[in-house]
Amino acid sequence: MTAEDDKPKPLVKKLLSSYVICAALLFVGLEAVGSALNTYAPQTLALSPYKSANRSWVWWNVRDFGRLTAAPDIVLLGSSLMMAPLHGGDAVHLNSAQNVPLHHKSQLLEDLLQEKFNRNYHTFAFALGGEMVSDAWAISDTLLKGERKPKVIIYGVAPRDFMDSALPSAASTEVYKYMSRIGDLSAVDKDAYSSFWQQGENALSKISFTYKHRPDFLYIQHRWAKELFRKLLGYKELELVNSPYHVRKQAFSELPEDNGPGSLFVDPPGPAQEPYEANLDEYRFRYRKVNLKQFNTQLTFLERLLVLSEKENIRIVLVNMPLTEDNMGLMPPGFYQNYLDKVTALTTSHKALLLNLNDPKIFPQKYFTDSVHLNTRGGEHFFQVLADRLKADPETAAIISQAGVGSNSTATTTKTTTTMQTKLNRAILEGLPKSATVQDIVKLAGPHHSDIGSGLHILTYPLADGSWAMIGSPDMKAIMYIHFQQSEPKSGFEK
Amino acid sequence: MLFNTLQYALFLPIVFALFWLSPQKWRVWILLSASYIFYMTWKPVFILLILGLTLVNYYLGFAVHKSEKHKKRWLTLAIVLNLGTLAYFKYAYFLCETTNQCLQPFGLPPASLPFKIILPLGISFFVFEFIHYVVDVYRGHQPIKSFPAFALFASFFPTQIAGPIKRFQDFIPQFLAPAKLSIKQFDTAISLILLGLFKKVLIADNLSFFVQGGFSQPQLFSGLDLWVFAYAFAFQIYFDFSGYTDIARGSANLFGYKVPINFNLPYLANNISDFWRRWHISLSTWLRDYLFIPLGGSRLSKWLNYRNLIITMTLGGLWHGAAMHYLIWGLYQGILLVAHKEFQAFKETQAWLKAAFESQVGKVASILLTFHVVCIGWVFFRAETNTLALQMLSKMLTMAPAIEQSAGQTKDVAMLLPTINYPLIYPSVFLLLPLLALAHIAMGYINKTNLIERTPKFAKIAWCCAMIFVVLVFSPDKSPRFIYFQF
Repeated sequence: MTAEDDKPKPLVKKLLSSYVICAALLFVGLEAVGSALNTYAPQTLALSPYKSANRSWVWWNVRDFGRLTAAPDIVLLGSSLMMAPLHGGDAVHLNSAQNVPLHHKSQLLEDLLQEKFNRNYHTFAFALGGEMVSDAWAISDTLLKGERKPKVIIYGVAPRDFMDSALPSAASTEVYKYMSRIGDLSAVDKDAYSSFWQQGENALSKISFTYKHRPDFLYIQHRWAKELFRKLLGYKELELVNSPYHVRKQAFSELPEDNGPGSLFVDPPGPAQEPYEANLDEYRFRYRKVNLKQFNTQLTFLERLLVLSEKENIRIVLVNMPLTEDNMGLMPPGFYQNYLDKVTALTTSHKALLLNLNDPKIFPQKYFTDSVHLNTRGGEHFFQVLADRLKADPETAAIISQAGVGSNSTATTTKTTTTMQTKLNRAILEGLPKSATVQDIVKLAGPHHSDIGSGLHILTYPLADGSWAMIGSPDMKAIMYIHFQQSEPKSGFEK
Repeated sequence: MLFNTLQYALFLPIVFALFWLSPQKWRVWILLSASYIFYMTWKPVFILLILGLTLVNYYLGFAVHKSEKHKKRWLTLAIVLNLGTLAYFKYAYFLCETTNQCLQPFGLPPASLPFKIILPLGISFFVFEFIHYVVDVYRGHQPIKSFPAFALFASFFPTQIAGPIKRFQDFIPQFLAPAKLSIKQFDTAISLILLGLFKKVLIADNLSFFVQGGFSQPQLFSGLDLWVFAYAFAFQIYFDFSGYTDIARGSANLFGYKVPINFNLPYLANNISDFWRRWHISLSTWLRDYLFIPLGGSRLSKWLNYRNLIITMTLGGLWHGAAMHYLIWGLYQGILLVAHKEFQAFKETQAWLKAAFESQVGKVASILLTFHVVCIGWVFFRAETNTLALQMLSKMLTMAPAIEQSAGQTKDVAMLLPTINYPLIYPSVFLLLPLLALAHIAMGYINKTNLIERTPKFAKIAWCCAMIFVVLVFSPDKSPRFIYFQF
């Protein structure tokens, strides 16, 4: 650098005369302070992923898994293909709406296994939308080890979990990003970050405190902005389920994945046949080109999961999830068979169990809500078939029969009902005007029974017929929704 | 390689260090190599295009300069070659489609191109720089003797993809003189880069979400809502392109070079002619010097002058993209310029009108009026088709309510303004847009009073530190490309 300055100055003095260099030094200093505070006084900055301002789907699962008092007997892994039967099956089985962010177990499977093995089981589900094999491994490697390890992992897989054109790399999913913040996944960085530049970004996040906590800062900023607009303009939390499609689309592209405790419910089916939506365009995009590199990378993650299970002495059951023939027809020629061959070979070599439930004779189209997801009746059927197959496999059956606790034990998870004296009923609540507030309900029925929300308030009220109402409110004034269910609503894993 | 990526954050310091640690004689070569590497990070094969055009124009420059008899012939050849290349890569599909539309009424089968054409990045910019070069040599300027300097002029990486469109008379002497960099220049360069990134990642990218929602489905929104979308796009395109230009200028400054400014607070323009003196200045001056003036400029009769204006602006519109809505946008700008000239002439004959426009209220009204006619133009520019643009404009101009049809019932719904239970950017826009407008006015004041120079050092340090934080936090994984990259 040739300096133009009038008087020659020592190099350090000359460099410090630059306000940009001073700013860079100040920034490095602030990074060091931030890093030290976060290490030695973590409450000061509250940048822990467990207390993230952003509550993604996986955040709710991890939060509730952390609240478990004992390791679950069975853990369910999988993408939305597993999520759909999990919530749908329980919606049918319990005849009540299932609160997706808070519902992390399969009551149906627990009850079916209880019937077959005469023991009570705890299940926990890490079934998350878009979950790739790498995500399933990341969850297992971070959480399902040591004291928290289950006896059995039931992992629902499908070809999309191995190759999705919508994803640039294994590390690009919300689940993987989140798990990499709470666990150390650096041993597989080479596979998870597919390009040199992604690896560079990963390295930068390890060096820079700000870059590492970028999601936290973004979410905190979002929270502040929402609060500001709530105060200034009366902004209300977006009600995703009932919003027009274009608004939801906008919200997904714009807002970070942030779910309230009552943001999605799966209702029990009505008397009519459940509607079918052909979502073929979406899957045409996902399957559009065979990305062998991605496919092989995901296979290595499956192998890691199998090795981990062997090491931890966990029985792993892979379930090839049901798909419609329409969806199968979209896959590139030979792809499905190759996928099945590779998965079969891996499960055989690691002595795991593979259950192939992708059979139109067992799951005809009437069980599907779209080309890949089972509807609620399909979900119920899925767990019935699954429980039968688990019982039919001697090795798995032996493990399951040793797990859980005897059915005479008091530590059961069976449904409980609470009866309380109240005049409040569903008709009164449904008859409230749109402008009604929480205060109006308090005037009618007194204070709420409990608040099971986190971030948003979810107030519970027992109803005269023994069922329950859940009232969602962002500020204890406005009412976002009122939902009804048969059993007493609980927060998180208390459920 | 985008300016707002980690790739560029590594590339720039490496080139910077190599440049300043090397002897003077190597520096042009270092920058030239870096510029070609920069270009090849997109599609390596297109390096042949930029190299080929550089060689051809370099020798044609000499041919134009040396030839006594065939000067004009060499110039014509150079222009045809450059425009032909641009036409082939950029307009072949458009010409094919337009021809098909013309042939359709006669029942003739549609034609299609037998091969796929990929539009090379930055072609519109470097082709215009080559044309400027050969035309100016024809007009009597000395050609560039140094081939690496000439090659660098067209491929200089900070300005390679989206300008500003440089002039070789300003640029080449900077290459040939020994490069110098002071601490002050370094500070200015980095501040410009940070400011450009701030404009891009924080303002333009966030507005793009909002804009996309409105322009993709205008039928869902009321006329008033669509005005808000048009305002938002006006600021999005300004902050996107001026952000890019700031990064380009800052990057060039790091090597001791100055490239021209492209924007001068365009939304403070008090008429459309003033707007074009403030918006994409390097393009508007290029169009003036190499299209409008050769057509006869304003030296001809009034109507020929108007014709030239309309031709210049229409072709300027088409330069932005091979689509009918860009052409209409350009035509609209031409008509506005003509209308403005007519109004100016009329105003001169009406003393009261002139006095009204020169009053403070008149000046503010002029700025507001100009901003709104520019926003109407942006609707043509941003909408994917003219049909969508006209649909939006008819609702905007009649302030039509939004119509929602469900279950066989039709009801009026003003979707955006009274309903703020929308994604966050929707309510944010009601604060953001007025703030951006105020920032525009504040920048006018800051520039006028030279406030930045007088700002204490600690405030500059704090500002830069905040910028570094913002850029690191908000640099998104999936940032949209700079809008002008597509041109």
